[in-house]
Amino acid sequence: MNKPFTKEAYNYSLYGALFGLCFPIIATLIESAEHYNSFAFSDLWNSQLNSPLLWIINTAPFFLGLFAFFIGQQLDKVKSQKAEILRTQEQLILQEQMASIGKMMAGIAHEIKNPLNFVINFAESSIEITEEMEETLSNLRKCLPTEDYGYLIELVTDLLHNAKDIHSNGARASRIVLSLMDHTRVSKGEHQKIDLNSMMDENVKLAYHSFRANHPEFNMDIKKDYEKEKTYAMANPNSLGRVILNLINNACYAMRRKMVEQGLYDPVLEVSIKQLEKELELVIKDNGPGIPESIRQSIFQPFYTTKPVGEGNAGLGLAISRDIIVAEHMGSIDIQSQEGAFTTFIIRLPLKGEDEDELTKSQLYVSKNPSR
Amino acid sequence: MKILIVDDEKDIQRLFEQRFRKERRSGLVELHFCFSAQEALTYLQKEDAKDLTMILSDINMPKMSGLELLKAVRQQYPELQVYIITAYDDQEKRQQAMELGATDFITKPISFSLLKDKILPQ
Repeated sequence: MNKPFTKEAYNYSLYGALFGLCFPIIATLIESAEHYNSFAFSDLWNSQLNSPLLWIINTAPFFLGLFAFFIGQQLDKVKSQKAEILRTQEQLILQEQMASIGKMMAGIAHEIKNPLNFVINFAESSIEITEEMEETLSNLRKCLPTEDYGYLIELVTDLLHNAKDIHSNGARASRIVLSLMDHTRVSKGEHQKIDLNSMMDENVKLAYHSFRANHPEFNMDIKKDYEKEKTYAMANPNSLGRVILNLINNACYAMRRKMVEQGLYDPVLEVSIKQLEKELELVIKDNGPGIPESIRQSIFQPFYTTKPVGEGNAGLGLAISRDIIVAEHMGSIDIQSQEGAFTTFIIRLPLKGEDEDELTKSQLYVSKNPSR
Repeated sequence: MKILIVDDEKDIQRLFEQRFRKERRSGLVELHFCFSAQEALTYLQKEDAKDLTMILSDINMPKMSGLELLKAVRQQYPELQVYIITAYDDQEKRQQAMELGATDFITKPISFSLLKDKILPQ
């Protein structure tokens, strides 16, 4: 509930009561002056006792207070309606901005893929051709002067390296373009009632398995702590799932790095979901190397990455995650971390007040796997 | 087998000819190119197109799109295979193409090893 005196209704009833108090005071003073010609306490007291009209006037603070309370209540209603409208407006603007940025990114990505198609495939073709040239050349070795032959081989080898570099960089650009397009792909999708617990379970599993597909030597303990058996929320399962996937993938990446650097160490991932007063809290904690204080603010910036170049990391994961949580779900995402010890990501999603009861009663939403 | 490739970018010809060099040399594959959907429809009426096995078509082309071409081909030559190749990889376009009767949907950048797996006889 709201604290007292943050609501106009309470303020107004206090003003009303104070104003109402003036009536019995003035009336008593007048009565006393008329009948006893004095303001002595006993005269005031007697005029109270002897005048039935004053008894009625004495109730003025109560009724005026009550009356003012209702006025205040109306004002409160208008106020909260205004706030609601403003919030919705803000949300709409943010969503529109996201949508138009997304549209632009998708457009750019598509347009870039056409030239990239040529870059990658012509490079691949050049690799084949140069290799064939090398082969033909070595067959001709005996027909050529040694010096010329050596020079030609050198040239062909350079050409081959160039073609390979063009190819691998084209592939890298293509991966970056793909991750840009992912952004627009997930921001589609409706908000619906979902069970956060099962969504979390599913994405933890998915992230862990896909990480292990690339790093089979990596193992971690997963500790789950869900306050309730089911935690319902209004959310876009595709985009929210992507945030979880991204955070867990980052956690795995960081813990593996610590393992490689330190050797003996048991990676542990802890996930928890609980309901706060007005929010739902999702926590993802790893006992990896932590995030240095100095870069903690930068990690949400688009194109910021600590991963080595060439792995196709565009540095968009956390930027997109924050967009999804803050702009799309009106929530917040925070980090706590201690270097060498742990990193914790805390996501808070607002509880939709009036939906709350309905949500707890509603049926379990089985989240569909986003197509990837 | 004879393959018709429809794309408004002329470079596509050199690309396909290079990437199918071996298959063309061995006579397994014969490539023909059209640089617009209309040109492709005109070509289909020719004698040369009688033994055509499949069409590989881009979507985004001026005047007539690859999807419109697909629709026209489906009506006139129901047995002809049509592969759609496009940079626009979204669920909507994919579904649209499959509903119109595309044999498959391939995205750019083209992976030729994947493409060959799909279209060449094993």
